[in-house]
Amino acid sequence: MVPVTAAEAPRTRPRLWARLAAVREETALPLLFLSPTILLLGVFVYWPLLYTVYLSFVDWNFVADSKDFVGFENYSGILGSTLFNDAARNTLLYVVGSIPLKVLLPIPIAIGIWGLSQRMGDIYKTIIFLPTLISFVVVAIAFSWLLNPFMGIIGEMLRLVGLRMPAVFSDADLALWGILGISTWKIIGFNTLLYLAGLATINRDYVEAMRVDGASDGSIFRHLIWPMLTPTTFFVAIATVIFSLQQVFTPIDVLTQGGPSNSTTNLFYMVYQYAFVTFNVGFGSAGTVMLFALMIIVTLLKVKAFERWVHYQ
Amino acid sequence: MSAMTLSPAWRVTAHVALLMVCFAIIGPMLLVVGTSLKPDNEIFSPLPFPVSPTLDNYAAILGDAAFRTYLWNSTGTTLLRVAGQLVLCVLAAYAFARFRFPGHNALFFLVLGAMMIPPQLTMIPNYILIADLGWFDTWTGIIVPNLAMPFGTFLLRQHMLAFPRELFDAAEVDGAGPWRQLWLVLIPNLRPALGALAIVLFIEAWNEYFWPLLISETDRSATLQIGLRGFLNEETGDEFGKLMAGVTLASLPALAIFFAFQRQVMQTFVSSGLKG
Amino acid sequence: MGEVNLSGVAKRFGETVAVEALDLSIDDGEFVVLVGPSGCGKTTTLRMVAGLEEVSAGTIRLAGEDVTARRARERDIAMVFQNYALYPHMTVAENVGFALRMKGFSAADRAARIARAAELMGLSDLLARFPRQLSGGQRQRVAVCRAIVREPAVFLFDEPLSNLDAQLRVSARTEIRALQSELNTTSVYVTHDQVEAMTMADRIVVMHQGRVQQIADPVTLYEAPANTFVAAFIGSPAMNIVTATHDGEQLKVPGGALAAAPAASVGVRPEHLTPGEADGAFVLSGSVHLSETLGGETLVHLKPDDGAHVWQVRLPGHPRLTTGDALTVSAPLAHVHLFDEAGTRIGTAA
Repeated sequence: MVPVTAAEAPRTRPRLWARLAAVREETALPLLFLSPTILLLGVFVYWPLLYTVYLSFVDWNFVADSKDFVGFENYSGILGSTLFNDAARNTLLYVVGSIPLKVLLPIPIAIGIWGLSQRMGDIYKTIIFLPTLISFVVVAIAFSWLLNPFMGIIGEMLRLVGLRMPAVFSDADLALWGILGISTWKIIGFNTLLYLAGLATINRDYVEAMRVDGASDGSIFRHLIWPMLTPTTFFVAIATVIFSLQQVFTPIDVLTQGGPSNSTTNLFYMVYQYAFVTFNVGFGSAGTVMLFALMIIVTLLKVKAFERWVHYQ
Repeated sequence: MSAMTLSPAWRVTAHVALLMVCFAIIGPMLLVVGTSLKPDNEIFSPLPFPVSPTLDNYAAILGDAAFRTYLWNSTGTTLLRVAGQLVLCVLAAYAFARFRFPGHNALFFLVLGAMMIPPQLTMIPNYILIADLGWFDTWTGIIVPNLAMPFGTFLLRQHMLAFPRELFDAAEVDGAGPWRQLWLVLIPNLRPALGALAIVLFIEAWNEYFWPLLISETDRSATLQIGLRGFLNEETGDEFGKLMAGVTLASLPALAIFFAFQRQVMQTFVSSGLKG
Repeated sequence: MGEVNLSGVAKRFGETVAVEALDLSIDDGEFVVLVGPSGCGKTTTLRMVAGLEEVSAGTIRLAGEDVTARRARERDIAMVFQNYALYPHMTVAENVGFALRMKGFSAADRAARIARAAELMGLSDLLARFPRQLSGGQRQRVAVCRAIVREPAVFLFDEPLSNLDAQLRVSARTEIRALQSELNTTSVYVTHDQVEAMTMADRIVVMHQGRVQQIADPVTLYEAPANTFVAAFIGSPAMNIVTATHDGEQLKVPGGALAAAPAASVGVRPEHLTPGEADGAFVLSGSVHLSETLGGETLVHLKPDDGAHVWQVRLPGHPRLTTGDALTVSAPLAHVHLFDEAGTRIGTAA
């Protein structure tokens, strides 16, 4: 290096270049790292949302050359359709049925696990968690056979004691409850884990202290456990609503394709039916846009719930 | 110090209730596995377990060329997808955690926002796009649209933010630029988090049904989940043993990985539930 | 070759000024300590020298070269961090050799230099260990070892001893100073501990609220502090600094008076006050308020009769004084410092 006399050093050129290099490193580099993610999200998430809005105003079937602009006809068409009516009603039923089964039932399970010794609790927790790992397709196939009235093993067992197995998935009155049941089987362990995460924040010394003070199990639950679990419950409830809307798609598709006579379809499956069963892209897109609006509302609620949840922790 | 917090009476009640729940969870699994081990002549027997267990059903399903193709497609698409997702997550998380650049918050919001959008809301344009790109019924079509992983980006960013800043400074002084700081200093210390994320991503990809349902058509790309569903539609009654062997095999990888790395996987699953 | 030159170096975070325009020239081989209370800007200054923090204004030169816009990895410096910043996944040898690896040294060259540096630091037996298997003192030595192995133009130390216990800290500072003398490498050392600063430094930079208060060698700093902040910060127990009033003839303070020009306050170090009166000395009288035994000496709190201020007096040995005893002490006028309204030192009363 050539020693440069301090004061008269030629400052501008080398310094400018060095500074530009620093800016490149601080700005261009992270943007480069982010570019694949952003590009993919743009192409496969955000652009499709916009394009769906456009498609919701045209009449199209994926193959026709022209996309005719039809204004709000797709929307009014959906709102007036039987499929929408049935899907909306079923969605409500799924949600209402999910509350006791997937939101409330895990609470005593979680408290039970939390209250037992670590070792026993871990064993129960692990077993209950297993369905989370198994694909919904496998779960649906397994139950379709287990509950098969003619060939399923449960049917055979019932026959031994003189009972008849109903055809759950081909009975319009039962099918939805069948799907609700197996989706409960699949998710209950996961929700239990969420509650356990909430319970983990309770300091067990408090429990000991309350016991020393002579508090009953009932008052420990009322004054210590329940206040801690309320925000978790709210959060799990909203997360489960989203799950019920979105994830039961798979068992519906595997087991009933929305039938019999629309008795198991929900709003998500309805969109799929319009777009990929009847190839009515306009209806499918209009339905998607309405669903998106619904999702935004639910998601905002969920974020609120999560903030409260974290706040309590 | 025992961690027990229930009084003895409640403890007994809890054990009884939890045993019942566990039975309800594990019973169906055992019935499926039991049936998969039954010989043909026992398939319709009401006994939950085979009298003379056999691996014939497994031999039959593995002898099925279509099943082997599905297995291959599932393995290939899953591994490639997870590898790609991990690389993209690491890069994006590093960008968010380590740098302050114009648009930082807006882009982060964009990534977080994508986490809230289920695939059913984007399926129509994506279906058209995949067809236009000529990716229909290909591994590329199954893998590429899923490569960006907002949840993984978020999770890794959290771990990176918790990483001591001083170590980046030390590496910088030692002469390592941002790229070498990432791979030589940060990543080796994030192994547990990366491992847990990889497992969760693997299970998710392996079990994926919705997207392949839209764009898989033939054996070129159909995965196990799509293939099994096809079996359900075409198999006749006496093939149930084979089908149950198929679903058991399809569930094994996820279960095996889970039992190997239990604790971390459960934690990561919980955090995915909290955010996703 | 290792001189450091800061001219007009300043750092702002938004509206907040962390470091005000600072000029400092450090000679090759000099050991300079930046000292001050937390938040005084000393660490920020060090990080700017390191290149870990961008300057808001000013120029930094290392060995005559303008490095202001260069990143840390492009400056010929090595740094020891407060929490040592050892890479947890690397062995001691890998930690020490990391910088050499980044510079592209061959494995053989690296091994030789690591071995030499480890021997110098007494770490030869620990090279295969991981940081988590080391004690705090050993980690600190590894951090120093990692810095010396590179043979840089300048060492930077960011409170490297603050995580050690008191005993270890004393031996470690002796060791670092000895090492630095041996290597004769320019060093900039940040600490909040004035004892550390006084014992180690060739020259000390006292900082307060982002501003340099005084740059001087330890003795000058002690004997002629530039202002009340430096006077109070350097020395332990701290200098007595008392507001004074002038009645035209004498400068009056609680418990005493002296013939001197007007000044806003008067400062006397506790160790410069000795029992008894002396001619032409500054005399204080009052009663013992409290007496603390420090071991070889005793710290007496002297309360004047008017009670407006308690003087601290450091007496040798164990004078048997109890609360309420009358006591008169005095200090030579050369040790009585006078400060003006702004706190700037005018001079001594002599």
